[in-house]
Amino acid sequence: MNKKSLLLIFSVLFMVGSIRYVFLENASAYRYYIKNLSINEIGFRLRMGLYIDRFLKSNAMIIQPITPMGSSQVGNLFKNSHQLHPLDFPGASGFEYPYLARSLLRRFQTKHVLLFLSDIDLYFVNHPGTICDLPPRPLLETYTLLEKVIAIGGIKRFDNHYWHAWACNYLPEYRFASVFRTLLLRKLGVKSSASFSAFYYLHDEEYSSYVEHEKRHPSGGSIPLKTRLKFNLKGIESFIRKMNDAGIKVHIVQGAYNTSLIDFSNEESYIPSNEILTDLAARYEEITYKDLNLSVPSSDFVDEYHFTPRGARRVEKIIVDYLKSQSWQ
Amino acid sequence: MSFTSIEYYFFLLFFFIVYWKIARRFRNHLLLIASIFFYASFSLKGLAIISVMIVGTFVSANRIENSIKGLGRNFFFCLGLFLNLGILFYFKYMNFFLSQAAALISKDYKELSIVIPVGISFCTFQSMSYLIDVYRGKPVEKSILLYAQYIAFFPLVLAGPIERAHQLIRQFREDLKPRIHDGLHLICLGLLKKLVAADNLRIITSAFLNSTTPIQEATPFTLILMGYAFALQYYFDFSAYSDIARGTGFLFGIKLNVNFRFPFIALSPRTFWNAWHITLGRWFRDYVHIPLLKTRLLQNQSWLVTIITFTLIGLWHGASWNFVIFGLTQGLWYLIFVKASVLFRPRLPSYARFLSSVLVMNFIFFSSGLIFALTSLHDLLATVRQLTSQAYTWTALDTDLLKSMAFYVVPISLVEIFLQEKRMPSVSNLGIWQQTAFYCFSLYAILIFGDFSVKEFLYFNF
Repeated sequence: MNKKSLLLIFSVLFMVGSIRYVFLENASAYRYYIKNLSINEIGFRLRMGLYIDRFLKSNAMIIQPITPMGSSQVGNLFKNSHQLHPLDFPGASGFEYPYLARSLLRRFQTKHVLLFLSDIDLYFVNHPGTICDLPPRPLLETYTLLEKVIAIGGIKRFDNHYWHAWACNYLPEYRFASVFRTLLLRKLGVKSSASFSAFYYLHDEEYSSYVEHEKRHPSGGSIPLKTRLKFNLKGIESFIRKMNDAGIKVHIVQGAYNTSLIDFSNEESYIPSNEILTDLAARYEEITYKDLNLSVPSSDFVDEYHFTPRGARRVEKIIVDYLKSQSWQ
Repeated sequence: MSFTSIEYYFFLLFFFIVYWKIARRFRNHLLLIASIFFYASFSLKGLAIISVMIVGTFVSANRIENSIKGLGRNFFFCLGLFLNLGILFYFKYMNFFLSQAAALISKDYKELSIVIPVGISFCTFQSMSYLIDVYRGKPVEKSILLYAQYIAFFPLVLAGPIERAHQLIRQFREDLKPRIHDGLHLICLGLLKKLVAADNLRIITSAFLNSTTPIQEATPFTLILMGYAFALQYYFDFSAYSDIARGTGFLFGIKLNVNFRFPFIALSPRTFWNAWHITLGRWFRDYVHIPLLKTRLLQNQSWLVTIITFTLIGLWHGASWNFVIFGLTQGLWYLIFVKASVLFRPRLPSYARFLSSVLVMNFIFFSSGLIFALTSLHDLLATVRQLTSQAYTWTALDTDLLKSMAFYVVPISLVEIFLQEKRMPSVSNLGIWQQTAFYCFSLYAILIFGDFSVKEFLYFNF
């Protein structure tokens, strides 16, 4: 290799590094993106990804004895809470919990984690394409996850998803492509069609049909209920082990959802989540499980999973009271 | 294993390293293995068909050279041509001709289930050019390995450039040096054109083609913009393939022919066809147009020969009436422009000549894009009706569409025009900062705007 080629490689690396430092390695850039981009423009999962990354880049930590964790339902539940800051990731179902563990450990100084789990966390399976929105993780974890999804028949084309996940993991420019695309196109007055995290999935037919199918058939769909349960439980168990390794105790409380809009009970292989979670608690001595007998009326929900402000206040109070009554608190 | 898939680049890296590590006498064997492996990743059946074509043509060409008497030469030449054209006709045109014949006699026709082997037109044309060259007296290739490699060389087997046997095989025999920098530049440029320009234009054109709104309701400006979008999409898609093919060739030290020179700045159909799919144009010039002009019947009918040649070029693209119309209109524009240049242009001042050329060529660009893309004659007629009967009001101009197209097309076109104006095959002759800017621009444009969901190139279908 001659001197000129070496100089070229060095200058390209220098430029790429500088651009990455300015646009992707400092918290203020993330603050700008969050401030200027709406959920409609980049999707709620990617927006949350930006929040988490901003926090991680700022090297700050939230110190609190107990941290609630879960999907947007948990975020919605503790949105106005002065006592508990949740780690919520929109659309997260059980299998994605281990991928959020790293963010939890880096963002929160905590001794206890509270999981608010219900049927929806156990029976929903996201398309593997959405793992691009999750914070970066070791590549082997991505590989294992994709292998599992293939095993349960969730996706057909493994190669594409794998390379896509690999690119998201190591190239933040690609992971946050729609952030830059939207900002740039808006500046130039060009209408953007970006609404999902990564461009790859924006026009991927398999992805869109999967999402559509899940919307129409939340209880079952293309993947049998039993397989979904097994898959999500594995993720939750893996998360519990990770927390135990880090010396954090996991407390699970029975969650709630709008049963007038989603009904699993007619499904043949449906097992209620309280039975599954009781069984889980029996198998892992390190965790606690409590069914708080939350009977939340449909009027306390705005949709299938999210609470109205009144509903959120009510459920939050029950949970906080329960936590206060615990000896470990 | 498309040129835009990651698997291709692993494949390329592996064969690149092994190629330059092994002894020179084994390199051609390795390239042939790579080519077989590459083609087999698309279609095993197609590989078998191409193998038959290679062996058949190779034997015919050898027999042509060995037959001293005219009769034997002609027999084996016709046999070789029959084999090549027969394969091409059966796979590409059989259904079209049978359906047209059935329509003529008002009978129902059930289409035969024929899968066109990918790249068959390109392979056939290379094979035929070799056969004709041998018939005309060029030396025959004695090594079937080199001949097979000429037809199946993996960078060009699917969509060209259409090479000539004596040029390519000579390079296979030479002790070449890799041109890594030129190769990487062209691959990078190709990916930029395909993933950013062509595939984003595809989103725009697919939305139009799949729209439930009938063409009768589209405004003339929308139709004009879509014409440009189709033309540009085809250009960026195909020239991207050619760039990656040439870049890959350079990595193995092999120089493949230039296939495109940004044709949208052409000021006449002649310059356009000297910049668009150059190797196809040259093939038709050398093996159709000139021989036809030399025939007793057509020697004074150059206009008819031009029309025939362009119609055949159109038909080469596919078995459909729109391609025939495309070829026919291209021939007509060509002749009209030549005639007009003689009659009117000398009387016009230079600025008017320039303006009239720009206007006419732009009309040709967008109308050709529409004819090429709209496979239904009904849609084509509806488009013509809309363009001629509706009022052109500026308020009906879809500025969002225009801006989107400009956003994806203008920067990349400027890079192309810049390199073309500098007469540079690649950025390797530029200064270090210009090269850095090119690579960074390409990298970020691909990562941020690249659409990785499409793997096929449009010209695979031809």
